[in-house]
Amino acid sequence: MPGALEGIRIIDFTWGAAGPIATKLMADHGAEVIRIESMYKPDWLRGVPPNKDGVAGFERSGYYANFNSSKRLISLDMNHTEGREMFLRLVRIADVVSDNFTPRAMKKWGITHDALAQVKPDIIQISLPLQGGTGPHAFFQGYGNNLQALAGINHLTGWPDREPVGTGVAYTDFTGPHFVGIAIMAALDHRRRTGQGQYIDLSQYEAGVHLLETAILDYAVNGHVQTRDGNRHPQAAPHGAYPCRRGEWSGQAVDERWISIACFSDEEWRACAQVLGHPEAAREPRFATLKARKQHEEELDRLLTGWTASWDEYALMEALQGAGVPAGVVQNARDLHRDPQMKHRGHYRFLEHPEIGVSAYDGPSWRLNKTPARQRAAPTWAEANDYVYRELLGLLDDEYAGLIAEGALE
Amino acid sequence: MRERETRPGPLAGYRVLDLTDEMGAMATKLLADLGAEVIVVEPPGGHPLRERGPFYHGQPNPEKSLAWFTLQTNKSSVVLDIATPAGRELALDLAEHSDFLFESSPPGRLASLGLGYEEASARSPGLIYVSITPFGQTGPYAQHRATDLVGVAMGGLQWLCGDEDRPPVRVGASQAYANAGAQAAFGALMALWHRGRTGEGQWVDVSMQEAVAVTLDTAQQTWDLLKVVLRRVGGYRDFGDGKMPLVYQTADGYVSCSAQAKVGWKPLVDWMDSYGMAGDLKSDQYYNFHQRGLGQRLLPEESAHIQELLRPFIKRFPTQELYRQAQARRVFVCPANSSRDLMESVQFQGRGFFVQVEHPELGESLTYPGAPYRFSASPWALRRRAPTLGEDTQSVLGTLPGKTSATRRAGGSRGPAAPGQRAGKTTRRGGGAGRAP
Repeated sequence: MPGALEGIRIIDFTWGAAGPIATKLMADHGAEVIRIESMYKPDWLRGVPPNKDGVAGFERSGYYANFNSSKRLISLDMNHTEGREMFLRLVRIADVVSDNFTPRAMKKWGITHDALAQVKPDIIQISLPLQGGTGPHAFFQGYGNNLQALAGINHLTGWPDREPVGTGVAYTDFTGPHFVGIAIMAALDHRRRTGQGQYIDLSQYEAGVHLLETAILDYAVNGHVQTRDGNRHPQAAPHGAYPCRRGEWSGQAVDERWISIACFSDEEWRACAQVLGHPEAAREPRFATLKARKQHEEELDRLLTGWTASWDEYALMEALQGAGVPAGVVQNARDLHRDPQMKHRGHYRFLEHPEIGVSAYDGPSWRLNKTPARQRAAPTWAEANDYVYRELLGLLDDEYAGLIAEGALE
Repeated sequence: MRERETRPGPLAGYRVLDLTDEMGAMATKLLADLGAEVIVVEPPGGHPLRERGPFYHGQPNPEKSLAWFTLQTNKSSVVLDIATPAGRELALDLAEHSDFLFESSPPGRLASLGLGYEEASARSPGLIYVSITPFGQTGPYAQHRATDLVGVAMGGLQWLCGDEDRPPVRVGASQAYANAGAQAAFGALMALWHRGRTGEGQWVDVSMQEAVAVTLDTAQQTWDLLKVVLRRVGGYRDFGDGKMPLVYQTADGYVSCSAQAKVGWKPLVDWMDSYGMAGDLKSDQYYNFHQRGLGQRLLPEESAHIQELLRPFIKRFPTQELYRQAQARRVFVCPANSSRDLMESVQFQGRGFFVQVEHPELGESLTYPGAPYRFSASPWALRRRAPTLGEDTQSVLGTLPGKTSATRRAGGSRGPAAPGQRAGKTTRRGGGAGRAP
């Protein structure tokens, strides 16, 4: 069965996470994604753990593998004249070229949209430098770890009396890809209907600001600077994470257990108090209405912390859900791998890679009922050189041998 | 302010019927801002997002919700009670003349009203039907209720956020909703490509839990490969066998700094050294640690030693000065911006990021985040503020063709061509060859 994106070919220069996750999802759905790396500057993700058996190695990073499923991989040295020539020949048979280098690197290699459009007039090119291709900070650098701070996520995450901790993950690296994917798909459909290609400048910084909900308007309109406030929500109480009974599992220091509970309505709060065995609390004037609960929220949180502490977290979740209260366990990665819902959906796909063996790859969060994703494990080094250079580009034996001899494919 | 954009967006000419609540507003905003015509169906009492604060000048009012303003840009509003037979018929009519239907009801609810995927797709096989729910359409948790907080909890993000000595936290802006929305839009556009080739619509079944679970950085793989659970470590990043510092205090605020990034490491040490604050970081052990080989990181005690030297150094500088000086040396430093900092950002001003949108009812224009992506030929644009309740009921229902489906199918039109509807766009509603088998 063909995938949803049958017929799309992407030449993928992105590295790290933000770009590769977008093209991974497209490859998983049937697009032909040809990833380019050079031995002189391999994807830095290859050096980031976790590695198979905890041993670092060029082909052993599970991090790299997860974000490159279903792709083809060729080696090519863009600093080599012949290498750049091969790249332009690839552009001629491509629909999309993607990169997330700084504008500096792309200019050095002459990968401007004008240059690409000369060899492929309807090419779609998308660049996703950190802060966009123009502006006084166009050349500024950082990881997703740093960008989440720049884009305002850190300021909104943590406690009001403590530093802005951020999410503990390189957050924008995992939200950005979906903006990248939307942009590529919209441009592809535009081209399908008009014949017109184009250039897309995607600033990961600007895309990140779209994750701040009302923060911008609240400041622009009301002069109010929203700030981090633990788990609180202005229109809900209780609204937080409360401790549950410590788990029996203790391989390491993860024996703490938490449940998140969100009561927006008085009805939800009454049901919550009932489940926790304190229906009388819901009738107390200090907790009877949302307004009163917001006024006495510290006290409320302290009470709940005591009430939840003896519960098994999953039993409490089921009890609260059964009573119509939005509640969920604060799950960790181990929990997610055991989560019956994630299993039911088949979220993790277990794929075999020559060096890593069988490991879990994330699937998409959506299911297309007619053209579902089908994944292959991440490619090994240069596995597609033969296919791409000989079959797709039609190089003769001596031409291909010549490229290798000259080092253009390093 | 820049000139008003007149070129149509890449999705101009497509129509989206939007039956979502809070959980789906982001998804259809993303399509609306790219030119799609999005029709929000509001119950007679108004969409739940209208109750969500904060409000314009702090005045609680369904026409003054900033959440509504932010997430419903470029959309139209039609008041329709889909729980009544007449409302349901009109919704089905609208669906039949739409390219996409987005909904976020508990699984089975729309089907019980006769508006489920089976029914809608039977009437228009080309329809792309997008369901955004907390856990997906089927499975043991399918009927569980979830707000954004429950989404980030069950999806694994909350576990990784916060200080070690306090409960895990959420981000103070709804990330489960935002991720589910963006991923739903991505998936929906994949389905559009398939329809463009074959005429076939399909069901896009989105799980908010999974949309959060794909944002966990290396946590999933670290469990899978090493059976180690990463956890929240405040302003650090956990590696399981050590943690990397990220958040540092400056003279007047906070920054995130990846001091160990290869390109900026030696310049940083040289910079510290010029202030006499580098200690022994110029020694081979530290200065050349990048030569240790693939995947070889600093030992925890080495990392702690670097911080002892680096934290006082960073604290000397006001945030903006540190930012400029660090970046000039290619040291990975970014300020922890607040909304005020963002509005004052030199880079955003230089790129004209923020845009003004007129609110005639308020007698002023308000500032909105601008394009998350800049298309050279078919730009993203905010053309219109969020709709008032039922603002477009008459104009939208008035353009529905005749009363019988036969007429509709024969006519196949839905009134005047949308701005930007172009020649060659012949695959609407999956007509023609290659319909669903």
